[in-house]
Amino acid sequence: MRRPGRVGVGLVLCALALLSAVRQQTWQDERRLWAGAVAHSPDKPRPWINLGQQYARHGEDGMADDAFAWASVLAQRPSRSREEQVRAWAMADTNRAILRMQHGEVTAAKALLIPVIARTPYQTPQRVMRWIEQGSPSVSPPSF
Amino acid sequence: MDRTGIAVGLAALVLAVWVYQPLSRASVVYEDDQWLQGSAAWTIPGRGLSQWTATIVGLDAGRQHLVNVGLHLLTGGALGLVAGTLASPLAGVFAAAIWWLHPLNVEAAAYISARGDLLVALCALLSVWCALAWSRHGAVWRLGMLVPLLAGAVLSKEIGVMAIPLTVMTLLVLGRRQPYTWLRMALMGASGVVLGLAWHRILSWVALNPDEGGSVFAWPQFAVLQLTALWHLLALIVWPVGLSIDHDTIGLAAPWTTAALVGSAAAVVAALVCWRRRPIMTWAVLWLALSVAPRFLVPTNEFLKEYTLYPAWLGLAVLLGQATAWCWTARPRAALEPLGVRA
Repeated sequence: MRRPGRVGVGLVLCALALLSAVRQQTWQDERRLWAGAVAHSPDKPRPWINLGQQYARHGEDGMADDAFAWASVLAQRPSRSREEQVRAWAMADTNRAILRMQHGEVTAAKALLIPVIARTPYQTPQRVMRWIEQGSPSVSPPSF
Repeated sequence: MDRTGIAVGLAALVLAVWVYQPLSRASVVYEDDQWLQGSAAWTIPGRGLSQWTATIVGLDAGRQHLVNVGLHLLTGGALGLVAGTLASPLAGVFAAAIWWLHPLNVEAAAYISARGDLLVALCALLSVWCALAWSRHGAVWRLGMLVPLLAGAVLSKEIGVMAIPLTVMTLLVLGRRQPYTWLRMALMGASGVVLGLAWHRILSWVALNPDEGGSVFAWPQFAVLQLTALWHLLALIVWPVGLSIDHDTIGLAAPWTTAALVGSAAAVVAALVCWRRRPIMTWAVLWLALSVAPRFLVPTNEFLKEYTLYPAWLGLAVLLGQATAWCWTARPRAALEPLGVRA
C-alpha cells in the first residue's frame, strides 16, 4: 500500500458520517435528546426539567414527577449557580404543581407553589396559582 | 488536485446529504416553536434576516430543517473555497468534507433556532473569500460583494458583527496585495458605524442583570467558566463523543479549567510563533478568538453551546483540512527510501 494515509482518511470521514447520522437521529426525538443530555450532565437541573416535560407530554406523569423532583433537589445544591438555585428550582416545583393540579390534587399543588411565589419574582408560578384558583385544567408543564 | 480528491469531495457531499436527509421529516425541537412564531425585527446588529427566512418558509418544520441543512452544506462549500485559497485545493476539499460530516455541527443543522449561526458562518466565510480573492487577483466586483455579505452577517445574529473584524484580520494576516490601507480603513469605518448604531444595546447587554439573562458570576469567574466551556467543546472536535444539547459547564471538573488555561496560553504562543512562517495557524487561532470574544465580553447566563461554536471553529476546520490533505498525499515509504527501504 503506497499511501496508507488514504485509508485512514477514508475511515475517519466514514466514522464522522456515522456519528453524525446517529446524532441527527437523536435530534429527531426530543425525549431522546434530553435523555442524552441527562446522561451527559446528570447533575444539571435543566436537562431533568426538560426530560420531565417530555415525559409529561407523553402521559408518563409518574416519570415526569420524578424528573422534576430530582431537578428541584439538584437545583438547591450549593455547587449550582445562584441562577439555577432560584430559577431551576422554581421551574421544577412549578411543573410538579401543574402535574398535581392535572390530577386534582389542588392542595398539594398549592403547597408546592406557595414557597416558590414567596421566594422568586417569576410570573409563571403566579400564573399557575391563578389557574389553580380558577380551576383551569388545560395547562401542561413548560420547558426550561 | 487529482481525480481521487474530487471523488472524495463528491462522496463526502453525498454522505452529508444521506446524513441530513431524514431531517426533512423531523418536527420542531425545544425553542424552535417559539422562534418560528417570532417576527423579523430589523435592528443592527440583530436577527432580522434569520427571522425573515423563517417567516417566508412558513411553519412547515420539514422545510425549515431543509433550509438549515442547505445553509450547512453551502457553508461547507464556502469553507472549501476559503481553505482552497489559503492552503491548497485538496485542503479545501477536505475542510469542506470535515465540515459537512462532523457531528459537532449536527446541532446547528438540526436546530431550526440556530439559523442565525449558520447564516453568520456563511456570510463571514464568503466575505473573507471575496476579500482574499480581491487581494490576490483584483476585480472590483469582489469588493462590491463585501457590502451585502457583511450586512447579511450583521443582520443574521448579533455575533455577526464580528464578520467585519474577521475580514480585516484575514487581510492583515494573509492578504497579498499591499498596501490596501483604504480597504482596511473602510472596513474599520463600517465597524465603527455598526458599533455607533448599536452602542446603547451593547452597553445594555454588558450591564445585564441576572434577572434579565445576565450572569450571576463576577466577570473573571465568568470568563474562566466560558474558557472552560470553549475548550470542552473544542475537545469534541477531536473526540466527538459526549455531544449534548445542554453541557454542564459549572459541573465540569477542575482539570478542565486547568487544561483550558494551559491550552489558551499555548494557542497564544503558537499564534505568535507562527505569525511569519505559518500564518494560516495564526489566522485560525485569531478567527476562533475573535469569533468568541463577544461571548466573553458580554456575560450572560448561558455558556457556549455546540451550535454557538459553529462559526467559531471554521478556522480550525481549515487547519484540519490542510492536515488531512497532507495525510492523503503523504507516502511514508518514499520518505524511507534514502534508508534503503523500497517505495
